[in-house]
Amino acid sequence: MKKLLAFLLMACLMASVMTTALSAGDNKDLSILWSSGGNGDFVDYTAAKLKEAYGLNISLEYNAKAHEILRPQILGGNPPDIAMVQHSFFDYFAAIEGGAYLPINDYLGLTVDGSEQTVYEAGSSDIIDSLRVNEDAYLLMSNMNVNGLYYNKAMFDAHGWDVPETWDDFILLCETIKTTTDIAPFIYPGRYPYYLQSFIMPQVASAGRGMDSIKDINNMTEGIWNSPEFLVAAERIQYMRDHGYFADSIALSHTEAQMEFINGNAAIIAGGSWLQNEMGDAWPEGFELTYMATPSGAAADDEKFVLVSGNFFGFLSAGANSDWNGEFLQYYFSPESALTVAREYSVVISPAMLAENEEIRNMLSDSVVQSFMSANENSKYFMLYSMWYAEFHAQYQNQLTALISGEIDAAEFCENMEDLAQQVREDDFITKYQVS
Amino acid sequence: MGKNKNILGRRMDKRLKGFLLVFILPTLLLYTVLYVWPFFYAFYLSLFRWKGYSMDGMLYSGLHNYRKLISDDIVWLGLKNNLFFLVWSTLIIFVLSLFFAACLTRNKKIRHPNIYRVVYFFPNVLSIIVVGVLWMFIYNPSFGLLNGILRTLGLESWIQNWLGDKNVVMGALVAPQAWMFIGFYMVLFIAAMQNVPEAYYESAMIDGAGTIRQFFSITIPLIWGTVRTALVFFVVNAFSRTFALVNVVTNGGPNHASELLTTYLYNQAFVYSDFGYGSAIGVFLFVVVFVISMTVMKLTDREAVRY
Repeated sequence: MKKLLAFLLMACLMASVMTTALSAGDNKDLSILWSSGGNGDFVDYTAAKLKEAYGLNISLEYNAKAHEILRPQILGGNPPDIAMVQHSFFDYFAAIEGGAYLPINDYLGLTVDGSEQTVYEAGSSDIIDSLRVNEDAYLLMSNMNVNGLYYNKAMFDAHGWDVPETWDDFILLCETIKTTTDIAPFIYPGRYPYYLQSFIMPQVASAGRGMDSIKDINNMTEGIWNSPEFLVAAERIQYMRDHGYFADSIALSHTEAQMEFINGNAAIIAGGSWLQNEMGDAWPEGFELTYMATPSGAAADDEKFVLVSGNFFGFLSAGANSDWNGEFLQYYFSPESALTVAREYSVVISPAMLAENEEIRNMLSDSVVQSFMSANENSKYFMLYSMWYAEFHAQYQNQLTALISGEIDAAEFCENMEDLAQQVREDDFITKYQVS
Repeated sequence: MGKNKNILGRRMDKRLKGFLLVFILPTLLLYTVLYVWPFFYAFYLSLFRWKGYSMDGMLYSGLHNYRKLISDDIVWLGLKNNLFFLVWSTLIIFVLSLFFAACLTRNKKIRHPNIYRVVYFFPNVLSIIVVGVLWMFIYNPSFGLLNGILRTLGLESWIQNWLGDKNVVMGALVAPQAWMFIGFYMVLFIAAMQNVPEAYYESAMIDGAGTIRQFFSITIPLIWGTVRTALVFFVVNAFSRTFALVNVVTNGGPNHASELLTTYLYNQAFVYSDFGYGSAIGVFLFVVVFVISMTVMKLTDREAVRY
């Protein structure tokens, strides 16, 4: 009996070893970790196509806390093959520095499925280039958002308000709203002051050297944070504060501030192209959510500046399978994938594709199309420093809160920011990045 | 009981000791790996600058993180806020839970005391995240329950931006903390009070002692062990269980006004990718909690009262 048992155990062991050995050469297992939440779970199409075309066994995990899962997996040497996590909770650049990500240079020239565009073109070449580290590309944008100001066109029409094109028009509108109604002219989520980036940075650019001023901010150029243009932007915020144009929203989250806007308690909100989708069924009948490029210049035809942002993904160095990275990208950035995601989640994977594909535009709400068309027509900028220097960015937001709540004035805000920036410049432990 | 003797006073033989050790060892091992070792590893990490994405990227920096901690105003603000919780939460929860426990135990006129026990204990059953979100809605400046009630009562002058005003945010955060934990300590004290023999109260009554005198001379001394345990819980809770509440409700804002050592530690490590500094804050937190706990234990140490 004992001999029989020992023989059976040995047979099981041999069978499992042989099965593993035989399957080792297949390499058909692909694991994907994708952050879920406000932007939707939109790798389904790509996963289905890979399964259909190549017979892959795809393990796809959507998780709102993907960033918490990924870091220990990287340290443990068993990360997924592909991962997208929120960059506000995950330092991509530190991970790249630590060798956690594979360069994607070789995949950029591949043609996406169903189109003549390459991955480089469909994946937003300007973003890919901005995110390079030592000339190598590591990250792609999983979806793009356009940040800016939004208003209810129906409310504006009812009150006879014109959409402002210049800074002076904007201030005049705020004063009109404040003195003739109980509506707060402007609202933003006070818990997340970074929502104001789409409002503040155009002021800096318009008062300064345009995109070069924004580039200096990203590059932490000495003196930029207390430069004349940055002081102008801070003084404009202070002016709005002193004249009561901000809603009382310091403690509000993004959804709370958005509800105030939807309920007609605020005329203009600092938000993004996710707004329509995020608030779901909360939009009342007759509400016409409309995008407004941030008015910052002196003349209506002055250059306008549009903030774009998004989520990022890459391929992990220690992932078990890197054989299908190219194919993943070819399907992910395909027109059919972009169309599916636009239809189901009102999210834009490829702005380049949106501009050229009317079918994709028809799937999206008006406010989303307006946002992206404005981004295409105007000067786009990315706040890369917020990814590179997370603590500094948090301190910037605290200083902004202090400015808006009246604790400090514009000059003090700028001085504090320059001091904080100098600490970053002098800290050798913090890797410095540059936009070319 | 002498050394090497079991509960029956008999000398344990080696085989019995070995047998017991075999059963204790796995748990002890698990406890050491999951609880004790991370403490020591945190000390070790605090001597490095490390971004947390690669073991190769650890840069030894000696006491750099501790020098930074000493000069970091946010750390001392966090400590001050933790102490604020310690003092005010303890005061409110301790007084109210003792009061309710005494009422439900000693006051025979209260009908169906079990219903009150359930009602007061219920918030403790909720997840702290649920409590945090609930109170965020209560405190909403526009449509929140609190400002709405104040408006209805004609107390507009009392209306505040409860979570957006640095002068009131900490007080506002004590309320959900108290609401959540009064029931737990009340139940703890009820269990202790029920073990006090009724005969003591009867004797005291015969001797002319009133309710309040009985409470301070009989109840409190005889449940002192439980009170002492509760005080240590208060210390630990003021530093650990407040993290989730603050993280959900204010995330340390506005502008660090409600920052705690724990929220700052979390942000330093997991958001700003500075695990070394986060670990140093953790070590500091450990020292603070240890010192306060030992002080509380020392100050409340007294001989057991027997009547």
